Amino acid sequence: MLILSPVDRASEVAELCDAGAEEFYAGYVPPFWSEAFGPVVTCNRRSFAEASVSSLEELDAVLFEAALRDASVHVAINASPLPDRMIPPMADLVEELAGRGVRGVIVSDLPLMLSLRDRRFRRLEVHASTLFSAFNGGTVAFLRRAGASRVVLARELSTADISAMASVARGTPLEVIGFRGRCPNIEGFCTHLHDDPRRVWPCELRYDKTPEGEGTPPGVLEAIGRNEGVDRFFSCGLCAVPILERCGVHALKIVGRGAETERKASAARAVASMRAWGREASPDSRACGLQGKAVYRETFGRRCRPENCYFPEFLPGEDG
Amino acid sequence: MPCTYRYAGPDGEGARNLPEGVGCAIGSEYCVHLLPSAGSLASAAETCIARDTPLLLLTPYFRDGELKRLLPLFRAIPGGADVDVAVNDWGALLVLRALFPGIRRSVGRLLSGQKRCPRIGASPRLNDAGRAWHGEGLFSSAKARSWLGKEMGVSGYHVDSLPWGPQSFGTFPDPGDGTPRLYVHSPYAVVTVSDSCPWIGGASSASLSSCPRSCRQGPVRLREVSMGGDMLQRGKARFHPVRLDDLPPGVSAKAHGLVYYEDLP
Repeated sequence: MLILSPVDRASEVAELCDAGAEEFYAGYVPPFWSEAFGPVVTCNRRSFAEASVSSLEELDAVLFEAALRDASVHVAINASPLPDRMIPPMADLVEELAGRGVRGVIVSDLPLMLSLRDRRFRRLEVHASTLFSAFNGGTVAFLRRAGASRVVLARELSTADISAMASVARGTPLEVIGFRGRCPNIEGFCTHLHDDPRRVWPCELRYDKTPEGEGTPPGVLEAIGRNEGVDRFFSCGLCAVPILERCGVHALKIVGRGAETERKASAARAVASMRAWGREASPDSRACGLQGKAVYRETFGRRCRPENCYFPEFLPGEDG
Repeated sequence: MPCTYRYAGPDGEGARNLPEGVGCAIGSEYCVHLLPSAGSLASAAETCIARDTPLLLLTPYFRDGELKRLLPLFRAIPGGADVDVAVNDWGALLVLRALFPGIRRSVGRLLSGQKRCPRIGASPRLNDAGRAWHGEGLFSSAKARSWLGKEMGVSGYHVDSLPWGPQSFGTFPDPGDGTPRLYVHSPYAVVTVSDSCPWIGGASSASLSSCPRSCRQGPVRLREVSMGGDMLQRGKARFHPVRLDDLPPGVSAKAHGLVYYEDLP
């Protein structure tokens, strides 16, 4: 299982590879897009400039540094829907990116995926984004038919769900998002506007909560409030890493375009450490839970919490 | 004239009380535990046959094991019923196409691509094109409509009536034989869906084999000043009420069906 790290500039590639990253993904916003839609609606779902490489020249430098270390680079063009008039220039952009050495594009727009399939790229991979909400094997098959060569699964699946999907994926590589950036909502079904320059998103805000009707059970308001004010930086799926690798997941993605290099590197180190331990120890599920929590404490300096957990079957917050 | 549907509850419990000529919508777009049983679906379909009205079955997303629940449901649809299944899971669409090719299917609101956050109407950081972009969706793409129609047998699209982006319906074909159907839902636009349900303590809905459905006892209103409007949460979904007079005129002309909710779905 490969470790897929975010990258925003060439100068951080070496450090991230040293930390354990084996693949990269980046954002890039072409001028024709930003001129049309302004700074908030980007073609890679990040409303702040640090989350994208600043220019094609910088992307070339990222590609070169990554190639020196035998790491491939993918580019996120994962906004959807793309208006029809934007599909041809976006497909042209992808062709240009492929020519520069980009190995894959992460796509969440069905018409763009179909257009890329029709262009029959010889080497380029098309990754179906987690925004396609792949909760089952049928969705993987649907996306394969639409032109996906890799599928990023929905973030809410358990290791058992993923294992079952991997066994029927028929050779389509599956990718799991498993460190940092966990959202309380299903990303593919969430239509919140992430426009706050302070990066406080609607899913993190603290709401006034008023029950309407008389039957709201006790605990509902508290359960809603549990996700409010949660810092996604602390999100983690470390306990699952050995099991995901064992069941054939192709890559584990770390969230964090736009984060500082040290944060990205520390994430790659944590995942690499857990993976190495899993390869050595061939652990059962309980041992994975204990080790994952230990690596978490080492990485973050605190205990893990349920609201930051990608895989609650490992009982976050309980040390066994 | 578009056909009017009313939401009659997850099991179609209100189906018998709908006004004459009004179609019936049942099921759920966001929770597998709010799907009707096969018996309830058959009963709602029989009611619709007797009243000569159409039935709209709303379906959610599914894990592999949950997807199997669809099979007895679809088998329960009696011959002669005018049924459309709104699909919110690409895998479910594939299953329908393979095993139930005779059942009419449409792309549900969760897959439509429209953005419905109340902030969109209020954000000072959006330019006009950026705001309008949030109203676009699969329905506005000729390429998507063509492929989904030919390859997956999709015959319709479900959307919300939103104040932004009415021009995105410009290329959608006018109602007619052989053209895809547009279903416009109102007034509760789906803003977001979680896999965790506060009504079962914040656990994943997949952690229960069956659910007491206590979310049906009443929603929770969510208010935060920067959001540009309140949201209502029921179960795993948050909705933004959009006033009926916000329905853009160009949209209603394209609609095959208007799906109304007297209460949150």
